[in-house]
Amino acid sequence: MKLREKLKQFNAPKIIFLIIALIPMLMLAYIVVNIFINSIPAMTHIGFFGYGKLFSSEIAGVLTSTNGEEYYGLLPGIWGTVLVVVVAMAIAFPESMTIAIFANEFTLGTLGKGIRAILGIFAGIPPIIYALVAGVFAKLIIIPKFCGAGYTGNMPPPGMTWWYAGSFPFYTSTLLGGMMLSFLLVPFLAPLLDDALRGVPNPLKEASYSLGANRWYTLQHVILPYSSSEILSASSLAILKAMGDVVIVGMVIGFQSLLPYPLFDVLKSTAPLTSTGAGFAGGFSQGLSTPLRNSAANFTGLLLLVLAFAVLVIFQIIQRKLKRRFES
Amino acid sequence: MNRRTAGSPDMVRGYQRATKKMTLRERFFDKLIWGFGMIPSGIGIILGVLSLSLNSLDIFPIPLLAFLSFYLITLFFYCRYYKKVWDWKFLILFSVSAIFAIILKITPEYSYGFHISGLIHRSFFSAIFLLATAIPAFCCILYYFLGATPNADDLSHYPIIIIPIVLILTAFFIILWHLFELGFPNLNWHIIITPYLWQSWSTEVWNTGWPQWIPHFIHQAGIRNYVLGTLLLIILTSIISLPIGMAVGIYITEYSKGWLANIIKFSCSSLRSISVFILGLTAISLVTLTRNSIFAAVFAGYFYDRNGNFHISSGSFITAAIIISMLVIPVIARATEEGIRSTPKEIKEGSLALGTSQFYTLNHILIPWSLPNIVTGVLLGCAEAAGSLATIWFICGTGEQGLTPFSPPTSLSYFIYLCLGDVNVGFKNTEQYYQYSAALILILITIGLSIAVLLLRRRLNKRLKGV
Repeated sequence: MKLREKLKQFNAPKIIFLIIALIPMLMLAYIVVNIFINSIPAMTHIGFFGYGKLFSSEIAGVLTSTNGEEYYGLLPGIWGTVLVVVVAMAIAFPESMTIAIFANEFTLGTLGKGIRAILGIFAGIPPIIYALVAGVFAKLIIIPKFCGAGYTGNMPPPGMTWWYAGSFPFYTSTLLGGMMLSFLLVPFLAPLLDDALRGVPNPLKEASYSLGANRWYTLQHVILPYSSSEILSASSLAILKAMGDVVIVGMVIGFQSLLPYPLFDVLKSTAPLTSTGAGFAGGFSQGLSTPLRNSAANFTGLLLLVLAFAVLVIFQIIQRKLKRRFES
Repeated sequence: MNRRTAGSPDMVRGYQRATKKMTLRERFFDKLIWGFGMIPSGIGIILGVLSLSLNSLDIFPIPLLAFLSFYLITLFFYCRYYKKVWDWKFLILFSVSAIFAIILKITPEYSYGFHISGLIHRSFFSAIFLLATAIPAFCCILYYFLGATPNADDLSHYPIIIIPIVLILTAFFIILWHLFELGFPNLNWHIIITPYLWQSWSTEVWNTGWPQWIPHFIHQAGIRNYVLGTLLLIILTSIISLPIGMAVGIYITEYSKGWLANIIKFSCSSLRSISVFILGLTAISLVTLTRNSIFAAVFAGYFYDRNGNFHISSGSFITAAIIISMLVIPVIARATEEGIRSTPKEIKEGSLALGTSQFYTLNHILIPWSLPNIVTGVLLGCAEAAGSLATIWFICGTGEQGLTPFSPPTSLSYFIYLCLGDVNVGFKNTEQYYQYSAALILILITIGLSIAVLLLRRRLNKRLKGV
């Protein structure tokens, strides 16, 4: 009798949906566990601190030792990630912000809707396209501005030889990589910021207007402070996307990095963490990778995961503080 | 005067008081003075934007900045004595532009040093200086030209908003135009229907009683493998991710139990925001794990070469589709969730009140209602699958070995990567003339899918409004 009642209560669709819906969770668990297990050999065999170890600035491929030992330094990669993300966000954030403001507050007729549609179309452009056309922007901006005599054909300035002038990394600079990455970020970030600005309640805006404030004043003193936490979360997502991208930075900047001497020199090519790891895994012209290199690649992925988590946590903390301040 | 001078009531009142006393003739000259001020600042903006790329305009910025600073200080005193308004912005802009002009005068044509890897041309600084002075100056002058009212304050901020948008749209236009310019001349039906092949094999021929091995060699250029591979990847990805994504969306809206639904939601959003590089590493490990097991044919893939020998390859279309569907499942789940949540409660409750079961309501009311949302999600996922490279980077092949779900995966984006890098020099020499054509086809696929999504969303909005 009890069994029959239980069978009546048995909701077959629910169980089936639950089983299928657990698949993404299992996938995520598999990814994380897999990355962790595969990076154990790198942690045990290579070690963390010391010459050529994981947290050093010597990297395999650039510095090849004579006795057959390989270096796995990831510090240049971490610094490269920081540089690329800073450059990309410095270009992409103002652009996306102005697009969001234009689409929400400062529309010219139907142009606001039009720019939303255009961005929706551009959002589908795959990253390899940006890597393919990077040379155009190098020719347009990087070479005329930062290459100087090597491009214009004049004599080099006194104290500088032709050899030095010709050896600048025009096509592989961090600046160019960040620039091409920003084109990927703008169609991703602008709709998020657009949603953030649209989330401001209408009564709040109308109260501001009815007190005699104009649109710019309302934007500065009502809309931006109110949506600041949303804007922060949107930009944290964009930062995660910039950190995680590998195609553009790999094809433009390269996959081997040395720490640049003036640390903020974005004209040198400092490959970020993702493309360093891809180089370890044999994704580029590195050829077949050894198990140890593959493990080092997995450790790079683990490090990336930890960094992404750290970014999320930091942004969450800032967001909470902002919310508290706005509520009080 | 407080911090925010422009548009503040004091200032507006003072300005309007001054304007009311003016005769028609004086008003005309007033407009003329402000209008003339827009000319150097407007030219400054145009010159600054052009100087971001051109070196040859290097002689213009210094005289322009000098003239602008002169005119700005004139405007400052004009404001002071004729309008009775202290506008410190003009004084600040005057000093800034004068300092910039002096700095530009003393910088040499090329600056270098501090081990910076580049010769920085003077026009780079002049572009930044021009944009930093001309845009605020233009805004301030526009504000007074339009009458210094709060509405004029709004209108005068348009340049700040529009110039970045114009710049980014120009950049996208340059990208698309470049692809079209280089890709369209080489794009023809012939290369689309010809597969890329570079293979040698031998056949056995009996000649006068003895076996002879005749070597064959084929080497042809084309992109059929990659177009068909992309389509296969799109189809497999949607087959894998559609049921899972729909199930997730339905479970977390209809059958949710609180914490379990939250965990599933969280894992979906984490899958979406996880780095594609990590997914690529997962693909490698999936292949290496199954390479020596009974699942080798499914996950590692296999093919027969032209001589009839069996090979286990390093990756299959199914593995690639599984890895890409990790990116697509969250999109479809989100779309399904939105669709089901947007269903009017009256319809759903009406169905339930008539005595139908939950599953019947789901099948006949909720899913048909949210079908356009689901199709939107699937189309976005297809665009993702067509363009995704990093996820399948390490397991791809050239696609010569056939295009079944169990053969090595390939796609147009991997083709472009092979043409760009120097991994396979022979391949690059054969195919590099078609890389822009392939990019054009890829762009057409993804943009076509995006436009379909756009049209679908428009129809969706109309339906929700009840038109």
